[in-house]
This record gives sequence, C-alpha cells and structure tokens, in this order.
Amino acid sequence: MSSYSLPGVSRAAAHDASSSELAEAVAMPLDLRALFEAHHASIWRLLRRLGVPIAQLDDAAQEVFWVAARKLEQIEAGKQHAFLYGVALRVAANELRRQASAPPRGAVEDLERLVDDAPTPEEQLEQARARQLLDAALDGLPLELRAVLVLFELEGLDVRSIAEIEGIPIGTVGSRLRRAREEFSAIARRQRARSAVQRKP
Amino acid sequence: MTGHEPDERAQIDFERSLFESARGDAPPPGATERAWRRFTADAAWLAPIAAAASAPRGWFDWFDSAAARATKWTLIGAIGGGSLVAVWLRPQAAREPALAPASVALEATAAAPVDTAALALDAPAGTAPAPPSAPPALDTPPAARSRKPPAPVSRTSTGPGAESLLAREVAALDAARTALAVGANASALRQIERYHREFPQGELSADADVVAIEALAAEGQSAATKRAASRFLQRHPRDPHAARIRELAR
Repeated sequence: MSSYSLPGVSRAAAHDASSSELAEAVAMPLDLRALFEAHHASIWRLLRRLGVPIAQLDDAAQEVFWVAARKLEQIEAGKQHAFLYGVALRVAANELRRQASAPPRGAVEDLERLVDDAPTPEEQLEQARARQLLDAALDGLPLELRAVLVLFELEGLDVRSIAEIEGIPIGTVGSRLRRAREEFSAIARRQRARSAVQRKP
Repeated sequence: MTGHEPDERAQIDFERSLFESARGDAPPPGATERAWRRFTADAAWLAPIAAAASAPRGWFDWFDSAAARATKWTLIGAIGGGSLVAVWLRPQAAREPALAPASVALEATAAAPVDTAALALDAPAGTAPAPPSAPPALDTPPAARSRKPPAPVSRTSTGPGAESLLAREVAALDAARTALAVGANASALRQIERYHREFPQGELSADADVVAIEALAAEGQSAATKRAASRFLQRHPRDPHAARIRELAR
C-alpha cells in the first residue's frame, strides 16, 4: 500500500463504501482513488487541448492513470499534478503520432459533441465555437510549442514548472513560448479575418 | 500606425477569448466516476499485463525480440529434450528422483487435460503456493497423471539455473494456454494473472499477454480486448503475434 496521500483530501472523505469495495476487489491502493478524483478532469482537459481527439480522450486519460498507478510510490507529495502533466504530455504525443497515420478525424463530430455537452444558452454555443477555433489554432502548432503554450496559458503553470515537467531548460521553455505565441497569433489572426468575412451579408 | 492600435487590441481580445473559452472545459458530468469504474474494472484484468509490459527489462528487451525468441525456444527444447533422454537412459528406479520439480511441473501441466480444479484456479490471490506434489512417474498413463494437481510455480522453489526459471515460466504459460484451448477463458486469464504475479519480469511476458488478449477476445470482452491489444501493439509493434493481435482487436 502506498504511503502517498493527497494533501487536503482525507481518506474517509475520498472513499465511500462502494469505491472501497472496488479498490479492494482489484487490490488497488486507495490513494489512487483520491488522485483520480482530484485530477481526472484537469488531465482530461489537458489531453483535449494537446490535441487528443474526443473519441480517444477517455482511453488517453485512463492511460495516464495507469502509469500513475504503477508509479504511485514514486510520486512526491505536492508534485502529483506535475507528475500527471508530464505523463499526459507523453501519452498525448503517442496518441498524436498514432493519429498522424490514421484517416482524418471528424472535426464536425467533435464540435457537435461539444455543443451537446453545453446545451441551450447562446453564449455556451458561442463558447463551444470559440473552443473549436482554439483547438483549430492549436492544431496548427507543432506539439512542442503547443504543449508549452497550453501549460502556460491554460493551465497557468510558470516557466520553471513547465521546464521541470518537460525536462528541458528554462531558456528553452521561454523561447518555445515566444515562438508558440507568434505562431498562435498568426493563426488566430487568419481565423478572425475569415470569421469577419463570413459574417458579412 | 494609430489606426492599427484598435485592431491590435481587438486581436488580443480575440486571442484571450479563445483561451478563456477552454477554462471551463471539463468532462461531462459523472465522467470521472464512470472513468474510475472502468479503470478499476480494467485493472482487475489488465494490471498484471500492463505492469509486466512496462517493467524495466534491460537486456530482456533484446531477449524478447523475434530472433532472440526463436533462439530461446530452441534452447528450451534442447534442455527439455536433453533432460528426457538423460532420464530414459537411467534405470527405472532412479528415474523419478532424477526429475527436477520444475521439469515435472512442465511435463505434468502440459500433459494434463483441462480441468479448472486441477489448475487450482480458484485459489485466492496472494495465497502461498502449496508444497510441490510428488513427481508423477513417466510411465503413468496421462489420464492418471492428470488427476494429480499440477506442481505449483514458485519463485522460491528449487532450480537456481536460468533454464529452470524459464521452464517454470513455460509451465505457467502452458497451463493458461491449455485452459484457453478448451474455452476456459476466465481460468486462462487468472493463470496469466498468476504468471505475472510470480514472474513480474518474466521473459515470456509478451507471450503471456497474447494469451490474455486471446482469452479476453474469446470471452467477448471486446472493449477490453481492444485496449489490451492497443497497448500490446504499442509496446511490441514488431512482435510475431502482432498481426494476430490486430485481427483480434477488430
């Protein structure tokens, strides 16, 4: 059993009876449940923004926690998020490599799924559209730039933390971030121009 | 220049709005709970497979290559064949004591008809293996030999030599294959679980995974089969079984 426990999450609160049974049934450390609950959503979101298609998101998130389960003992207290982010980057990179040789995925289908998840109000529809534009813009970046931009802009990590997660020097993170912003900005500019043209009567 | 400034501002706002749109992005309600249940369900079948596949193996990676595997099986055959010849050349009275427990386990398991009770598949996980049974005489009919429980595969049993360890792995794997061959799929999966528990860095772990994937497929666990197959192909893209695994994953 791992001695690792999530700060601020008591075992009693984190594990109800049914989850205890499940964990016991597969001889799984209970702390994994807490780790899963605390980070699954953010890992899902990160994988999404790194370009993992929606159809593969659940599997990719599972893969991240598989790795975490196997290395639970090695995760330092307070660094669980960084550990999971690092694993997610590798899982996303593998998934994208696999996708590169697969037929193109249905962007429309993805959009519909996003719309379905956020029903009715107009602003949510608008937000879903903005997300689709964001993903399209991020799709235009190489993964090394995309990862740095996503971790900095969306996950709010500082340059030092990103360097630690990626295992690269701080200076490299800085230069990647600069290039990522430039390229993202150029793509977003084209998107905005296209939108403006489409909205004209 | 001044005319560009409002546009620049609008561009920055536009980019900001794109980033902001993703902040509230989250899996659908209940997705984490569903994912956890799936995770634990998968873990029951696949944890040993994944653990073995990802274990650091050093020179075993070479050992696991297709060419090396052929050499490995040839070696096993030579050792096994040599042992049997040596045994048959000895006087009858001396035959039984001459057999090492690992060889007996290999022989007995391979000869046994599929019988889940005989395979001791219902033993609770983590239970210490029973002491080895008396080695069966080679001239006993296979049907009679099969009534005896198979010799347990134990890390602490005799046979410090690598060939003995490998023979125990082969025995464990054969038991799973035998179960699979007669449709005792759940039993085969448990055998593979036991294999991975006992040989966490087993040299035949890829072969064990193939058996597990075949058992999952035969059991109709198509989602689990696909996931296990996908992991297998990621880790062993050039494995001789890769084509078969791809077919199973369809």
